Amino acid sequence: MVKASDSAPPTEGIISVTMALVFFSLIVAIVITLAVSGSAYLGVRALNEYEQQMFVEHQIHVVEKSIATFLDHRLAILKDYAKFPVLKQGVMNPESNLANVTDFMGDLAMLGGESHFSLLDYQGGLIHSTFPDKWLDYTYESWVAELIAGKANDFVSVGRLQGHYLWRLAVPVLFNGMPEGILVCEIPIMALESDQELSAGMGSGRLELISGDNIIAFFGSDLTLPGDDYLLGRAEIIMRFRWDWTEQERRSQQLLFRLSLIISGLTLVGSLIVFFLARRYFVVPLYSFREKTKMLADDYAGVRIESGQPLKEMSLLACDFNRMADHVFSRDEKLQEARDGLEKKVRERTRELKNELDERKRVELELAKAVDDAEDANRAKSEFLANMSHEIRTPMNAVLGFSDLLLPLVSGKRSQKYLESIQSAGKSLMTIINDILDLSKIEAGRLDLQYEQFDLRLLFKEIEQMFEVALTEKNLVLRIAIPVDFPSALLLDEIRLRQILVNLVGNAVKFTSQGYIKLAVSHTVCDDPKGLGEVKIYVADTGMGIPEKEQKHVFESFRQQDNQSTRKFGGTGLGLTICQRLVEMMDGRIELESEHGVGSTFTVIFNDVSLFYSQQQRVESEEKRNPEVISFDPARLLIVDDIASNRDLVRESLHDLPVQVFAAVDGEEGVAEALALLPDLILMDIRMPVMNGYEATSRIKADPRTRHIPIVALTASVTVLEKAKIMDIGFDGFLFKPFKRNELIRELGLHLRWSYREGDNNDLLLEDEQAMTVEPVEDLEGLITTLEGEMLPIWQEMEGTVEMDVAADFSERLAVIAQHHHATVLKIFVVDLDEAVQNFDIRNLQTLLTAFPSLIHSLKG
Amino acid sequence: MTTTARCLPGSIFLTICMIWASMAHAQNEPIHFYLDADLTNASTSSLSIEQGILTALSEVDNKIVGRRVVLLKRDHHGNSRRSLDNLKQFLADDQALALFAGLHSPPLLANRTFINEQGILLLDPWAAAGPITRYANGKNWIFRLSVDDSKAGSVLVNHLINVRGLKKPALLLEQTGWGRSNKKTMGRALAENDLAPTGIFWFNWGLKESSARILLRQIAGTGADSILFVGNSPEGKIFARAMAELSGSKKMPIVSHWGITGGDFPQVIGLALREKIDLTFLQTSFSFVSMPDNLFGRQVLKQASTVFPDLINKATDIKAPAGFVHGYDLTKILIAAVLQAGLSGDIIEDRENVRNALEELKTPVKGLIKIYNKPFGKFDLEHPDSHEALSVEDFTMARYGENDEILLLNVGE
Repeated sequence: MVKASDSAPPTEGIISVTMALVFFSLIVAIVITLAVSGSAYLGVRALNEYEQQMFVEHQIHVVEKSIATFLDHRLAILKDYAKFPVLKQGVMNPESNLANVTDFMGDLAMLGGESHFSLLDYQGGLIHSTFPDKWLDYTYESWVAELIAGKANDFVSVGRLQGHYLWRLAVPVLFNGMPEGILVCEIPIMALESDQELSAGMGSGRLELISGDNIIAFFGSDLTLPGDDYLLGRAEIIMRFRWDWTEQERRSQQLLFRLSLIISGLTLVGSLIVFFLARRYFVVPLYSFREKTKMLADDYAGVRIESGQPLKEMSLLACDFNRMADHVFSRDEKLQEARDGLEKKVRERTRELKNELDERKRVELELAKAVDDAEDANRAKSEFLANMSHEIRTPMNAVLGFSDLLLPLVSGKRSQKYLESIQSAGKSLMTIINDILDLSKIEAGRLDLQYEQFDLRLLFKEIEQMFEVALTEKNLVLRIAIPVDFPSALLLDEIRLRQILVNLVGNAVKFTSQGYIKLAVSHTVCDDPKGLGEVKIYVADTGMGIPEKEQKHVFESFRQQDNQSTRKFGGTGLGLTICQRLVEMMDGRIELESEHGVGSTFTVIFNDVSLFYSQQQRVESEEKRNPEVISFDPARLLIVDDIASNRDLVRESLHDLPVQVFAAVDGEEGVAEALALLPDLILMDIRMPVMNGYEATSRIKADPRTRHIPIVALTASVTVLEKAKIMDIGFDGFLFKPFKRNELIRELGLHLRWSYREGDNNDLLLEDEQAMTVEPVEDLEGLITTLEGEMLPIWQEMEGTVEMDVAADFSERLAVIAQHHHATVLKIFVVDLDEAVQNFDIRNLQTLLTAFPSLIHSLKG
Repeated sequence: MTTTARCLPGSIFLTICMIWASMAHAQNEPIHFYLDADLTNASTSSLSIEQGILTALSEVDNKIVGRRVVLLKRDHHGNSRRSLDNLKQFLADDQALALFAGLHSPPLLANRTFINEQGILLLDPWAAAGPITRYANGKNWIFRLSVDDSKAGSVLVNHLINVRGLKKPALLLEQTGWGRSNKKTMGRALAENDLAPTGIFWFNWGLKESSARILLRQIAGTGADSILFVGNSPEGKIFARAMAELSGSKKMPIVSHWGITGGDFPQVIGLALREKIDLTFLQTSFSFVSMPDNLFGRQVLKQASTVFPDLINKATDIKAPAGFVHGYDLTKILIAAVLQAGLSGDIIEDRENVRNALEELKTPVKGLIKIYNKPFGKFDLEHPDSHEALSVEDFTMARYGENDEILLLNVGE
């Protein structure tokens, strides 16, 4: 309820409305009076100044115009005089015309008073003057020269002669349009004073004309008040204007005072009227309202105010007050009831909430326990599997080991076949077990990583050797691409990385039936002083590919493609899972890009790998591709370049390598040759007529028959943009022109097959290589004839049913032919063939023999 | 005293050396001939005079007594005060030997005293006023090879009366010293034939055609049967046009002094207009056009065309030919005088010597008009024509031909 202290009426410190009204009315009256009087004063002053200025300006205008008119009239007359032939003759021949000139000039007259005329020759020398003083001399006046030079048509100045100021007007006397003399007229300044327009209107003012420091004329009354100066355009005359403004200002002030008095009176009367009206209709009813409100505050029921008030707003206020008084009583009662009900509801709800909270806590505890149990169970499973696998492996080693030992002891073909089956099954089982063991170890958290520095190049080489047989069997090619600037060592777990790559390459080989497999690496060096970088290893194949809907499942355990024939491809379905886990353990990730029927690319990405560059190692690794150290396998290379010398350079650089160089002169021919030759490598110039290198490369890469051929761009451009474009188009590398032989061979080493010379203990090969480097093939046509005429029929007989003896005989005969013609390619083929024969490697033998016709074809070039 | 005596021979030697050096220096510098004429309003006559002078000089390779000759042109507009200024420039130039005047007489009349007092060797190839060459108050420095008004009047009057048979001429004269001097000579010549002009009319330079028509009507009103005209080309053209527009009865033959030939008169008053008027005028008795068989004339014309290959190819290319003929003949005489006098290097002395040589020329000079045998002599009041190279026999009357060329009347008629 309302507190008693708030309702106590204020007794002091607040001004009543009546007082406020009185004050307000007075202040308004004073402010209005001051404002109106002030602005009137300022207005009148501004008006005064404006009027004065206008007056002065008008006067100046009048004077200027009068003087200008005065001078112009006289100049016009003077110009007319100057046109008289006698004056023209006078200036041309003064001596013989002097009498005529004197007569003529004696008759001349000028408006307004006594004027004098003088005729001057072209240098200002006096010919004749009507002025009695014959000492006039204008020879050195600058205006003479100006008039004679035709720079001015007339001249006006103020001069002084015998103590009188005078206007001096001068015009040229023209003969045949050329100024040959001057006619001067001198008019007393006082002639101006006779001008009616000037003298009138000066009133109490005074106008002075000043030339130099002398007052040459004045108009109006004799005043010495300060004045304003204005420059008159003609004759450099200053007009000084003096005017007595005191009378005008006195009159304005009187007017202003009366105006202020009237405004003050009117404002005061107005204020009083407002005051009385406000008191009668506003203040008195307001006091009455206050009384009633006080009664309501004191809980006096039934308070009412008369609604018939003179002011409409007051009447409305009275009605509202009456309604408010009714509501106040009814609301008090309802409020008490509502408060009682609410307290009861709050107590009930609090109790319910407590129960719900207890229940939730209990469920959470149970859940946590279930998770723990599940994790324990999984770990236990993995532990068990790990242990079990280990336990199974031990006896399996025994089984395989003993079956190995048994194989040479068993002679029966049947028994041998059984034994081979045991070995094969055992190996499969071991693979499965090893995989399971790995996965279990990983999941059980028992696999430790051992980081060490290693050279990825060696690892790639190792993998290549590992899959050599499998690749040969499937007639596939493994391309390895490592950038020249790839670091010499990485810090990763080499054993696990090998496992990953073996797995991925193994899969690629397994699922690719034709084409090639590419193993490549790239790296990006972070802007980091520790030498960290990102390494991406790509394993790409041209195999069957993985349908898009399967792609997300390939990394799941025991998962094989739905349509994948287990019998055909085998495997546990654990390989990719293990790869993924291992990569993840090394803080990496594995990505898959694949198109069904086109091929797949697995990309293994390691972030923040420590990279090491050892100068020595780098040199060593480069040397490895030096032809002194390595030897290339026979290969065919296509150079596409429009400039003959560039093509010759490549050919010359490679003359001592077993690389056959073919040439094309533009992109279009390059595309055609690529398809016809199917070379092992294409060197492509970028800027060429007909079709440039970008276009040609795009076409070659778009054709499924040629897309596997690596293409190296030859370019003189070194901009980053160009480099990016080159890589985008599908080039496999690039060489900057002009390139050195070493650079060319290093690039070739990235794309062509080669082997180390040292460590290759095949004497024949070494010998052959030496021969190869010294001499090219002798009598190529004879060689091809021999091969096609003699050897091809034998080969045709052999096909299908390979007898080792026949093959050995074939190989021997080929060796003789190869030696005879110094044919390196053939020698290498023979070495391979011999090896297969001696090892009874029938599959390899068959593969080699199948390739024989294409070998002959390649020799033909 | 002793010091002075010792130094004296050295000083004399030095002085002699310096004089000799300065004279040697002067010997290498060109001598200047001036042409002070109206190049603005009477440029045709000035150009013609210039061509005559330069053609004559070219015959001696522009060299006299081993010194190169350069012609310097000054324009006086016909204004005698400007001419005076040019004369002063001549005096200030210590290489200036002689000055050729132009067509206008007034500047020469106005400055005659100055010229003779200052010793300006002045050669007049055109201006015809009689008093120009007749200065008796001291040494006379002005030599003329041109028409002389004191004789021209009688030649014109003789032509008018004896050739044309006209008896009542009116005088139409420009309001200058030249006009006034002709008033005297013509009046005297008429008086000698017992005739008097029907009226004497004056006009100023630069008059308008309307004024000219008024004057001609006034003349016709006097009952004149012809007009004796003294004026120059600008006013001559105005009067010719005004006369052509007059009705037949008021048309009168004009016998003119030769001033009208000094400008572009025949180009402005073309053949069609000239056929409406009867105009004859005074000339000296040589014409390239009227005397095509004159061998010497042909040689000079050829020489002129080598000097002015762009301007002169044939006889009619020389406009206002009197200027050329007089300029050429006068320059030949001047060259002979300089050769006779020699050049000392002191310009004052040289002017004097050449002036004296002109009065006593020992070798005859072949000119276009005639061979000049002693053309000038010592002047005094008893020998008023001593500074005139031509005489009455050398004057003739002429008219314009169909190709604007000047045709002499006594030749071929």
